[in-house]
Amino acid sequence: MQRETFAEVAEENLDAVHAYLVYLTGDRGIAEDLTADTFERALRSWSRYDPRRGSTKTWLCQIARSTALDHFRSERRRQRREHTYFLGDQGRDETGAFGEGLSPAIETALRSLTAGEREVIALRVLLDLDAETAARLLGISVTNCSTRLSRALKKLEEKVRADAA
Amino acid sequence: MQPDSIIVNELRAAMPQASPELRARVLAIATSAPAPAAAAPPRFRRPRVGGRRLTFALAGGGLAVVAGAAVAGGIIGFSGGGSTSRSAGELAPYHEPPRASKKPAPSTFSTRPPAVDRAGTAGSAPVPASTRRAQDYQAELHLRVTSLSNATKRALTLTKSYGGYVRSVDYGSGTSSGTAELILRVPIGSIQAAIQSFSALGTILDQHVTVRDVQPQVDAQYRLLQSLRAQITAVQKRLAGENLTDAQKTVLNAQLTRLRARLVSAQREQAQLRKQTSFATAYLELTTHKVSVAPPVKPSPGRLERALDRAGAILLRVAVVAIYVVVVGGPFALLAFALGAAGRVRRRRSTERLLASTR
Repeated sequence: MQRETFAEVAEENLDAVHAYLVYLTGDRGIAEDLTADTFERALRSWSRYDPRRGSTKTWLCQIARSTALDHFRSERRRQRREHTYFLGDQGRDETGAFGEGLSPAIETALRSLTAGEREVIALRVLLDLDAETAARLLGISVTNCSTRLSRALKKLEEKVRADAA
Repeated sequence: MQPDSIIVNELRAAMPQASPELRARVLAIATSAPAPAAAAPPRFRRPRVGGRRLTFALAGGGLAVVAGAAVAGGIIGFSGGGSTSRSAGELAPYHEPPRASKKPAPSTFSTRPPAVDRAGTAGSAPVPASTRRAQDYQAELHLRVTSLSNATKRALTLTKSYGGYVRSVDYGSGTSSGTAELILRVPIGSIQAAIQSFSALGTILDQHVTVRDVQPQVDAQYRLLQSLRAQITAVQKRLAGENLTDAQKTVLNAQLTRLRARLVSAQREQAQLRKQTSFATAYLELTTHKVSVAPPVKPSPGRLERALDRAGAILLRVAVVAIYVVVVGGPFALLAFALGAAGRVRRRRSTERLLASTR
């Protein structure tokens, strides 16, 4: 059976990786840059990819997560060095950051979640990964992954209800 | 529907899509001219082996190599430490110490005329007893026998067959060894043949023969008896005379009585001396084998058995080294494992904190 080329894999998983990074960073601009970085890294390590260890989506998500964490750490170091604090939502494009057509209440609620909470929602809900794959990607147990997803969705729902009220 | 199902459905419906600019950018990356190895996956990819699987594979391979080396070493005759002594034993099997009986007996006869002492070694021809002179003949024999009971019975039978008698027997037998001490009296004319027969009962460990010439004592005793008889005859002749007073007769009778008493005593001593010189005394000490003295010679092992022994010795040595490595390196390996685990936990918690503090 002929393996897919990297271009085909990129075309197939681009939206998933992008959506994951959008949820992880909460910023579409940063997510686009990180997506490009992710595929650059993936292209360099494409020869080492082993299909027996997971799907291309999982593999790309692992690279995307590593890229995003590197970005977060470098941003934190930069902020400490410049004695500036993270501005939070200031300066961000708040409209449609987590997807076109999403209600403002959910948009706001998603923004109030932490990156970790949004990450597990992205993996389990948007990318529809099973609990075992998501847990292995996050480096936690399956139970912990399920608990984390449940709490994130509950928190999201509470925020939505609070905004609606 | 669950309360959050609406939100979940909305999230899925509004999943962010990559912009055309990003799609073009990524496709440009994917279709760029990378290194040939990165552009297409190699057809013949080296199988990826996990750390745990690699550890098991290395351990199994190591064991197989060690076992193969041990077997090969055993077959080609690798001189392991455990087989050296056994090989030495095979090359130089146990030999019993040469029996003393095989050595020639030194002739150490005393030149002194009255007594001839000889400390001969075991197995030598016994000193012949003289048939013309009276001798006090004593022989000591120390024999190692296989069956103490049979040897003792045989010695007693031999003694009787030579016309002798048993003066004493001290017989003691244990589980592993036993000793019997016999004092035998054998006619002097048969002592040489008797000693040769006793020697055939077992292995001679020690032999000592003492021959003392008692002919002068016998001659002196004979002369004493002749003198006493002559004196008694003379006294009797004087008593037979007619011109003796009563006092003289009384004195002669008393003298005759003393002479007769001395004659009887001398005759008794002569009989005792004759008996002493007509029988030789044989001191016979019989002992059984001691297990530790002569271990049984093991049969020579076969080629396969020797090879297996050597292989076992090599494996034993490897096992000792492996145990040593485990004992010495175990704490360090545990420490490294603990440090690695702690590092992984620390990195995971750091990541968790980072994601929890990022919005």
